[in-house]
Amino acid sequence: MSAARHRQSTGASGHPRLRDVGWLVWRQHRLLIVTAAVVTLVLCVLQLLVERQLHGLNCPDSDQCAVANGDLFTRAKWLLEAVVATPALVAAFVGAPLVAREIEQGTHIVAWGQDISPRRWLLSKLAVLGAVMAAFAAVLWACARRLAEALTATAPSTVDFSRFSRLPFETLAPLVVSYCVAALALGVAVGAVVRRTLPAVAIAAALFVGSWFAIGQFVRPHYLPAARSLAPVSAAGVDSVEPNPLYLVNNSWADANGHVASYPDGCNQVQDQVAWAACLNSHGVSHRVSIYQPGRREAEFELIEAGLYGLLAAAGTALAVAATRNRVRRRP
Amino acid sequence: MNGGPAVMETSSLCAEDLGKRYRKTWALRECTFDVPSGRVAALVGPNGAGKTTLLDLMAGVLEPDTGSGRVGPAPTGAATPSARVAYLAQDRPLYSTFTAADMLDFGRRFNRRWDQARAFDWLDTFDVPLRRRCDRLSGGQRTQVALALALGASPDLLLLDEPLANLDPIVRVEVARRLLDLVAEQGTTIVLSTHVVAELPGRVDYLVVLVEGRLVLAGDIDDLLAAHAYLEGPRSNDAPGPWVTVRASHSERRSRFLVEHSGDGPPPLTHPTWQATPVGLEDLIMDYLQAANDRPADLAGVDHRG
Repeated sequence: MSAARHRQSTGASGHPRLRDVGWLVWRQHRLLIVTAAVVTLVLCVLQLLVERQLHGLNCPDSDQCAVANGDLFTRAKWLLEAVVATPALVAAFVGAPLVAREIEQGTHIVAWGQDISPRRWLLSKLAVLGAVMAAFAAVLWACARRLAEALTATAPSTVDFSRFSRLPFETLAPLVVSYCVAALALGVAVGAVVRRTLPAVAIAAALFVGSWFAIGQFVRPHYLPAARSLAPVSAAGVDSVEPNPLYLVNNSWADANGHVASYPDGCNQVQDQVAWAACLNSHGVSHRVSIYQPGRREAEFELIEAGLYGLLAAAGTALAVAATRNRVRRRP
Repeated sequence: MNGGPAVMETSSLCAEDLGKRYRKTWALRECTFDVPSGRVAALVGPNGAGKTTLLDLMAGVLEPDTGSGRVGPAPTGAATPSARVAYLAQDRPLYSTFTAADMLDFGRRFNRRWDQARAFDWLDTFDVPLRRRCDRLSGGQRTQVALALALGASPDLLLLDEPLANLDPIVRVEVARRLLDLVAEQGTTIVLSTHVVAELPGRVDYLVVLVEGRLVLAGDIDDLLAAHAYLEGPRSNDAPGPWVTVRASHSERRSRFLVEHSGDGPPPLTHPTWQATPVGLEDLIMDYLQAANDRPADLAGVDHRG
């Protein structure tokens, strides 16, 4: 071997370089990345098609419109559901196998046997894959938002696309991006702990869907302390406190001093609005109490939710790093 | 380049009371030895003796349950990083969708030190197709790719698990020769495991013998050979002299003892009917393996050398 051919290369101080990690991620996961791109593209095209159809509607009578175009509205909602479901796919098929498959196939010995620590390897791969997945999610959301806005503008009340419901909250803001990043980290953590691909895929998907459901259902209404307002019961009826609250936690009744009072069931028999108000007043009920999240908090809620998923992503990453530091290989 | 090839800071391998357990079974226990820098050490033992476990522990793939292993000396003064280890694992893990060239590309990108020419020359020498996916390579070719990756990284310590196992006989000789030549150039420490004693390459100069997870013999081969001898004489239950008997074998009228003594050369014998002969490496290893088998399992390997 001549001295000239005996070339030694020495890595730069920023080891490994971004393009090297990029090369590895592309070389190792290109099938996954291409699949994600195709899924993004297909969903996007479908959404834009449905969006055009929605804009083409001419609906003077909203009830008849809902009946006549029920399929279209249903399709639009399902497409948005599909967008919200994609992070679960990221958790299962991108995140979970990332470490689990390496360990299962023994290639972690190769991956971590070079001049790169398991921690660096994991963090740099996560960063690159996370950026790629976030980019796809952003594109997907750009399409989803157009569809969600079209639906908001055209859907009659029976379609239930008001601010009360989950879907518009999750699709009108780019929350899907934060879901995807959290799903990736969570999936990687599950894979690093479980160390077997198939169970990791199932657990990661279940865990992500479970947390997403629990957050949406049980945590989201309490991101901020609910507002409370009193509306007087008068002959003109009860004023609507907030035409479009984000969440209506509950409605109850109160007396003149603002103390909670029970609704007098007897007043239900009264048909006349004026008499009904008088009936309530005679039972000491003078106000309706609304506990709700005002609609103007929408942006705050979305920020809080994104932050929550950011925390989830950080926790998943920390867990994955802790699990790979302990390099114990499972024996057959 | 940071000042060209660094001065080779060769490493040693040191195990202290190293142990690893899988559930209730000890795969390796109370393993203490020290391989000096720049040596070629053979890790010998029957299948299931704990050779792979020991290599996994040394490579950092496994974490020990007891004791500790150390790779590389504390760098003398200079702020050199800890010893670089390359590990040829038993099942030759490679990324199945990568080509052989991709594997080397991977090595080049993720090692601070990388010898591209050496890695490619290796594959060239052994006719490994560069553009074929690793999952379509033969077992022998996979070994060559894994070896090329390990050699390209120019490690201080090279751990090889049965490096010749799935190579054909002609290639085997060539690989052993080139491997040892290459590392001799650079002063790399090699630890290679094998269960075929007859196949020990000539340049091996250090020996570690494992039986059932226990260390039964470890040391410089010249020292070990010098410290052992066969004593042959009339049939008797005990060997003459104050020496430690490793193994006794008896025929009808004669007895032969493998003894360990402290001095160089055959031990002085006072009794004229006894004859001392030197020991060969293969016989030495075989007798230690046999001796461990002869003993009840719970005592196997207890009286090993320190």
